Amino acid sequence: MGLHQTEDNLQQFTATITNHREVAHNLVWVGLRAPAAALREARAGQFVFVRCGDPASFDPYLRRPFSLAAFDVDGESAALLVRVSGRGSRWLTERVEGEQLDMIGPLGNGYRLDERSRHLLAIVGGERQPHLAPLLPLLKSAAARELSVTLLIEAEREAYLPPASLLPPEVEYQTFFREAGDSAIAHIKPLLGWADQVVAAGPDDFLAALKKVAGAVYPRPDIQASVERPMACAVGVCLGCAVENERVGYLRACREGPVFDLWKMVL
Amino acid sequence: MPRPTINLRVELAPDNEHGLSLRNPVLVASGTFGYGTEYGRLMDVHRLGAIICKGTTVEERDGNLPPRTVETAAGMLNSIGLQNRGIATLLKDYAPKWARWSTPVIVNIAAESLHDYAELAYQVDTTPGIAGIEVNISCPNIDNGSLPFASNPQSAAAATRAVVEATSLPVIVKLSPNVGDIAAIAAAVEEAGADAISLINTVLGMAVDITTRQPTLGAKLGGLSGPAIKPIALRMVWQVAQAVSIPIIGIGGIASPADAIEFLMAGATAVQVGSATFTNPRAALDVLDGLSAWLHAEGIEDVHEIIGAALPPQ
Ligand SMILES: Cc1cc2nc3c(=O)[nH]c(=O)nc-3n(C[C@H](O)[C@H](O)[C@H](O)COP(=O)(O)OP(=O)(O)OC[C@H]3O[C@@H](n4cnc5c(N)ncnc54)[C@H](O)[C@@H]3O)c2cc1C
Ligand SMILES: Cc1cc2nc3c(=O)[nH]c(=O)nc-3n(C[C@H](O)[C@H](O)[C@H](O)COP(=O)(O)O)c2cc1C
Ligand code: FES
Repeated sequence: MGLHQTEDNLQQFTATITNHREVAHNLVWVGLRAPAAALREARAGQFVFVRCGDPASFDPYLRRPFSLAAFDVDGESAALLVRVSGRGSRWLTERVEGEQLDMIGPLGNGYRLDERSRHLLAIVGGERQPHLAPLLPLLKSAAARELSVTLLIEAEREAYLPPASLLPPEVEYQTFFREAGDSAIAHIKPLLGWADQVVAAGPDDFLAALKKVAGAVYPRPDIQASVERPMACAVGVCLGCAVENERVGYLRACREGPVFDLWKMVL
Repeated sequence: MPRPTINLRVELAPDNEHGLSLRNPVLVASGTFGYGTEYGRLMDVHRLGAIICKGTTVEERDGNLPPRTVETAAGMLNSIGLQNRGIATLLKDYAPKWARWSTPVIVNIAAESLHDYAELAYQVDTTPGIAGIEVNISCPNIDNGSLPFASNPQSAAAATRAVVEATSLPVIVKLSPNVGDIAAIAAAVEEAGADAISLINTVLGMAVDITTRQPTLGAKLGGLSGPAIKPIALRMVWQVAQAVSIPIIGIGGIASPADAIEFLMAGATAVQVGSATFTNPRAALDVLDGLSAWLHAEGIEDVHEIIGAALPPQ
């Protein structure tokens, strides 16, 4: 299809929970120790597909996708940032230190940080908690490369907000609460001219609103956006995770995504 | 480890000129294993009895409006809508690879007219690297009221005949569970020249999103798969086994060795592992290894000894 695709380095592996803490209301940081070989080629925006239930049971039937919220390419540590929303995420956050998780990954195509970028704008939304996890490793490497980084993040209310301590201190963190009638997107226009590159994550209606506002700006900035779709297989065989691309029809969030060029997405 | 003396080899097309002899009776089901390449990093594809590729149509198809999958109790619904790139692309991109594999690949075909079934069968027949054809007859027959071919004995037989007449390859006809008298349909398909029968395809179902108050799936209706459908599939295999004498391949909710053994005892000569692979990529190999271990523990030397064990005495 002529689309960029990462080399397959996926594997099935066991990760051990090393720490576990609720960082905001219904938002849990799950620290992991994973085989170095599984993390060596991981990239920001990629995800793992986790068995969230008793391995001897087929209910729940499907694995759950979670972004790699942190990973060490030269080591064995990684983390998930889990929004508790249903039975699988609840099961996951009820595990304790030392317990083992069965996962497949790293999966999908991540964000690509342009060599020439100096100013990075990140914008994150969510139904309740913002979808910050896929962006965390990117913000970390951008800060390490001394880019100037601004993150606009929107949550229903302050209690749901991931704490600034999850971010590199260099990141300028601006927060917006829908409860207070505010939105992140209402504040992006002045920043779109400043940024060389824009990265986003959030539900489809959030990304659609972003596309609308940013589309009125000239020249249109490069925007890479991470989406969430129900996934049955996460390896590209079921064709369930369809995301519409205006030129080539349906693409798979698990293979060609979950990070897409926002301008080509039909939302 | 199981002793190599156990015979697992099965023949799925005894009356066909090429035959369809598999080194073991564990296959992977259409639509759950892509084109055989995707799971290569997670399991040893070359130990499978055979691979059945994603359903292919004559022309490329975009598939249905998302959402296309939803999890249900011990299962899932899907409404993919046969998204695929068409037979020509499939044969060009994959058949040369398959020709070098030791695991046979069976091409699953789907069509909405007899003409297209015949066209697909003809194209597959003339391409090396393909061991057989599985015919998905659960699609609507647009030339005749848009009821699925699988829904009655006449149209199921007509689709079977269209394929059998256009190919010398072994033909497996895949039955739908969304019918009244499955045994009558199986008998008609056998009569029309099928070498084997596979069953079941997914069970028609739906889910409602209580937030939007609308059907969850974009296509509204979807096909149920997974452990939730196993009892239905097993019942149908058992009924069909009493109505036909050609080999049967059991499908539906197989996730463990014991599930597969149940299907064999109900009269299946082989089984397909479907959506369980999504949860456990090694599911088919776990089924295979567990089956060998069980046969060994039972002192059984040939898998044929248990096939049909649960059928009533004739
Ligand atoms: C690529 C990708 C990355 C993700 N990264 C994260 C992350 O880092 N942190 C996080 O908290 N969540 C993430 N999600 C969402 C996460 O997968 C869902 O919150 C989770 O699957 C919900 O499962 P559940 O059993 O708790 O909820 P239930 O509502 O009980 O789940 C029922 C079914 O719907 C699916 N489902 C429900 N919500 C979603 C959703 N938003 N996206 C996809 N499938 C869903 C479930 O997987 C399951 O099959 C990501 C999703 C995708 C596709
Ligand atoms: C996502 C998905 C896609 C499928 N696509 C096809 C297909 O293209 N052709 C076909 O004959 N069956 C298709 N099936 C049906 C399966 O091959 C199988 O008959 C069914 O899933 C029941 O088996 P299971 O319970 O083991 O999954 C599909 C099933 C799923 C879950
Ligand atoms: S989840 Fe199966 S193709 Fe993406």
